[in-house]
Amino acid sequence: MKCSKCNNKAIYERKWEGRAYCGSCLSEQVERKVKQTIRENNLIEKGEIIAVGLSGGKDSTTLLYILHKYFSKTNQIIAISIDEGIEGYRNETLERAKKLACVLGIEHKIFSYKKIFGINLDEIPEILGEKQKINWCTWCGVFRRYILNQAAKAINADKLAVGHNLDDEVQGIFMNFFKGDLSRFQRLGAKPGIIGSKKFVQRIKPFFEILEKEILIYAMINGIPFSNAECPHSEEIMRRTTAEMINKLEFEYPGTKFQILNFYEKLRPFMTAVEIKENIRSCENCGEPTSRTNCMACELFDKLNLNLIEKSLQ
Amino acid sequence: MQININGKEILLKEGSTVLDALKSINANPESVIVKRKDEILLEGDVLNDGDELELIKVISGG
Repeated sequence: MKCSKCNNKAIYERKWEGRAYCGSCLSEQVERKVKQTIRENNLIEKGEIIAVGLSGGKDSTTLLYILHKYFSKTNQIIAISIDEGIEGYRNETLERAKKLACVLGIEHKIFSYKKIFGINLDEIPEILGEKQKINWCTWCGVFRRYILNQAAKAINADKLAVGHNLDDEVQGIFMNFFKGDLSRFQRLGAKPGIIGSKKFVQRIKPFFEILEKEILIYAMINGIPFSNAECPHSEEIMRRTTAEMINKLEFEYPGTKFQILNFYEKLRPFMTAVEIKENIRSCENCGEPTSRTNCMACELFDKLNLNLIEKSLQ
Repeated sequence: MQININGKEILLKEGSTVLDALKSINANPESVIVKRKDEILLEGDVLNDGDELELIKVISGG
């Protein structure tokens, strides 16, 4: 099959469009769409400091690469990585993150659980002294989001860009639907979370309309250093099942993922109208934003007999 | 004909495509990228006897 644009050999087919692309033309399409998403959703304003969450995986490395390509002249871009202390996984991904930041000449800050909290993620079950299995993704996710927000604030970032792609977004829509979590369901999109809260650095998702497969191909053909390693603690069974279900639908009915996202975006005005927003207040312990009395990070730290207030990045 | 996918030998009919190969191992084309040496293949690309394919999972990370 030939590329629909230039007649070279195609390496990727967008069945829902009835078009195929060579590597170069696919790259052009991906970059164009990212710029369109940023423009239409006002994700990046000229002069803003943009922090980029850089794990070293394909999504975050590709995001840094594209943001550097198009915004490094108008914006300061700083990469932030989190080292959770996961043996046999994070070292490899961090090496790729360091390599890319170095090649692009981007300031790169690495924050580790060990330095900030005094413990690695791997040590938590031992500290808890419990034999039952812990939910790794809950512990890791809460602490990572906490550090990312703190780190972005510490470098005075105006926005925190993350590599969430269209597949992540559609999975999020379904998972919150399955869990009946209307509040989180409402908080998806290109500018997720609580818009306008000074306690949160606004997260932005420039890839929320880009398919995961297109990002992987983009990274491969553009020679971006990334790690395809899987976290040994990864146990988000519901996410995996949901992803498989959506991929089956996408194969049978090409364009399904876009249709789901489009439907969600059409729902958005109605969701805002029903006022299901939670009251955001300050955690009574550490002052971070939360909808509870104490934030999730403090609640989890309480279980470890550690006090988060002493673990600031400032 | 015989092809190799990520180190495993698979028997397919002559003229089989990438999609046929993926179906034979119950892999969804949406979830993987198929490479033959440095070339990324499409579902409809025809395979040859002795081809060595590399399957790269699209979903990765944590």
